[in-house]
Amino acid sequence: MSKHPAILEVVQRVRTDVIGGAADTAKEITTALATLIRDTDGSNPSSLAMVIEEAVTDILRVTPSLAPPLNALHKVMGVLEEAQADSLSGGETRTSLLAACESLLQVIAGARDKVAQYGAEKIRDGDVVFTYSMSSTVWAVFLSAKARGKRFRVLVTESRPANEGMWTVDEMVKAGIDVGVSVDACIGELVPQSDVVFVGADAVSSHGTVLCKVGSYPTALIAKAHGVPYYVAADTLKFDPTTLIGLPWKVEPIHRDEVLTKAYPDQVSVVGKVFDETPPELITAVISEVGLLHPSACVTLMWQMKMSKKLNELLLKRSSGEI
Amino acid sequence: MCSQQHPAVMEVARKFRALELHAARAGREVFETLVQVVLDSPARDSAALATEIEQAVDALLGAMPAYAPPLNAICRVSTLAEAGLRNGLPVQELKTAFNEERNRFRLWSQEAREKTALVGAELIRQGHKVFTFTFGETVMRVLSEAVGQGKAFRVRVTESSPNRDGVQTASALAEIGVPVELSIDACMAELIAGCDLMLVGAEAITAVGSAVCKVGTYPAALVARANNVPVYVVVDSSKFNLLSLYSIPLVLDHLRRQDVLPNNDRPDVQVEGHLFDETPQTLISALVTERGLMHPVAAAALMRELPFSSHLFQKLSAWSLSKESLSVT
Repeated sequence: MSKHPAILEVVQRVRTDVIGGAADTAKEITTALATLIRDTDGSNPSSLAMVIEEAVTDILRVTPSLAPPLNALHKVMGVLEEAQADSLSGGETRTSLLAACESLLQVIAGARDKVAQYGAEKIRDGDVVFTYSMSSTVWAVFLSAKARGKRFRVLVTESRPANEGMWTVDEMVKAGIDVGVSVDACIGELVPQSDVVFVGADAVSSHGTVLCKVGSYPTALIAKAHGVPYYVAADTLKFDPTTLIGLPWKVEPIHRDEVLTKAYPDQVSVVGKVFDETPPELITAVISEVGLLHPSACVTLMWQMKMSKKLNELLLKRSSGEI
Repeated sequence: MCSQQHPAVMEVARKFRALELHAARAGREVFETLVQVVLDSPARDSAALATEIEQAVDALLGAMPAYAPPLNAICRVSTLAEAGLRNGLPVQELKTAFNEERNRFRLWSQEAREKTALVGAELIRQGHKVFTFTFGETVMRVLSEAVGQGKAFRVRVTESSPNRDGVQTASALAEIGVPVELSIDACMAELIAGCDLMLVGAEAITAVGSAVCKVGTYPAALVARANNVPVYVVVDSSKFNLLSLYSIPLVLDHLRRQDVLPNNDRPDVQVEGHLFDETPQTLISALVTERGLMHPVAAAALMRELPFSSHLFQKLSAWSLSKESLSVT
């Protein structure tokens, strides 16, 4: 059977890394799956299941270990497994799958606004706010605080190797928010001068560790040492239930050409990864669309998340390099 | 004013402005220059010589950043001149006294460097992983001493922005056959976590035991502490900032705009931060000095042995006030 063009397209887009953030990747994957489900004949439930499983496997092959797209796949596969257990008809299965996709898209669209609303409460008039690197969720927090008439100043550092901190600088200038910038090494001076720290996250684990852009962990240590509250702005799509079954995060290494020129002696090797892990004891709270949570309590929401047995089997296989 | 200065003074002032002098070297150069001013002076009496020294000191202060070693060198020279004047020493005898002081200082410098390197090398064991930050002559000497002793160890270092002095450390170590791993500053935690010890140099040690080091050292020391990696600061006692004992603040250089915004774009954006930061004594396991390993709070006891005067206090206090920047006490 030939593959659906929507799936082919999303696989291509994920593989070539042209989609912006992890939430956008989740959105495109969910939309593609919804299109596939709508266009697939529902008269035979087992052939419908096969089509969906095949598409999910294709997507999984190219998707990096980012929580939001994996959560989207879990939800769709989880609903499918429930439908099979309940012996639903093909038509009923299609209906519940489409409803799941729809609610997922609503969460993706609405979560950021809520995080922004709750996060803005933590910024007071006249504050100096430190942020590390860039996060569209943190930007939304700042914009929401500004919209409520709060005046504050944002401090940010470059965030090597890709300098995403400069994106934050430009975004703040665009929004008319006062902003100061420095080198990453200067966190020891800037964080103690700040009233509050906000960072975005790539994933939150079941034991409360948060995966963020490299440099966030030292920032959190300094915040803790100086009593500066440290907030992680992350909607529940960033909560990674695959950590419940012990799957590790795969993190990209820093590339040699990001640190050294070609002429540099080979004896020196370039090491390090682009993300680091911040332990829960350094984090004041995770700000999600369901509200403020201690990172160690995020697991309680993961327990409620739809987990597909089949997808976990596929993830374990992927982790051991079988697919 | 400047046109009347001794050419050696003009040259050191130029090097300061061009940021060509590391702290330790700056101490030696300032001391040698001031002694040269004395020895070359046409002054007929000690008072005229003292005035000449004062002018040279002022010219140097006008150009130099607040490094401890050159400030200590200024204290050494100025108190010697003051003592000479007070005791009514003829100009020729004062010159002889300076010549002797120069010989003593040269001998001390040489011995201090060698002893510090030996003490530091003892900390490094076969198979160790050593984290270091930025570039420091004293740390390099410790590491080469350990190599000379036949120890095989690895070094991890990060770039150290701005100026990326860490990259210089990496190539210098590669040259003497030490395996080196390099990364960006943001990655310090990953590099430090697996290390046996952290060795860094400092610009200054204050009377309360803080180390003023290249910016980024403080977060690195905090990460080291959180990961149970001992932090050693390698400094001979010329880095002990005498001024801090009398609560004159050390003025730190602000980062330059081009350090962060190389194209000088984004006119609405302020560049924040300083070139150095302060690591509190609570994060430092020990200072590695020519007097052996010591806890940083003990530095004040050695500072009290250094010469100082009320005239210098007033001069340096005013100088430090004239510098508008972050200060560390």
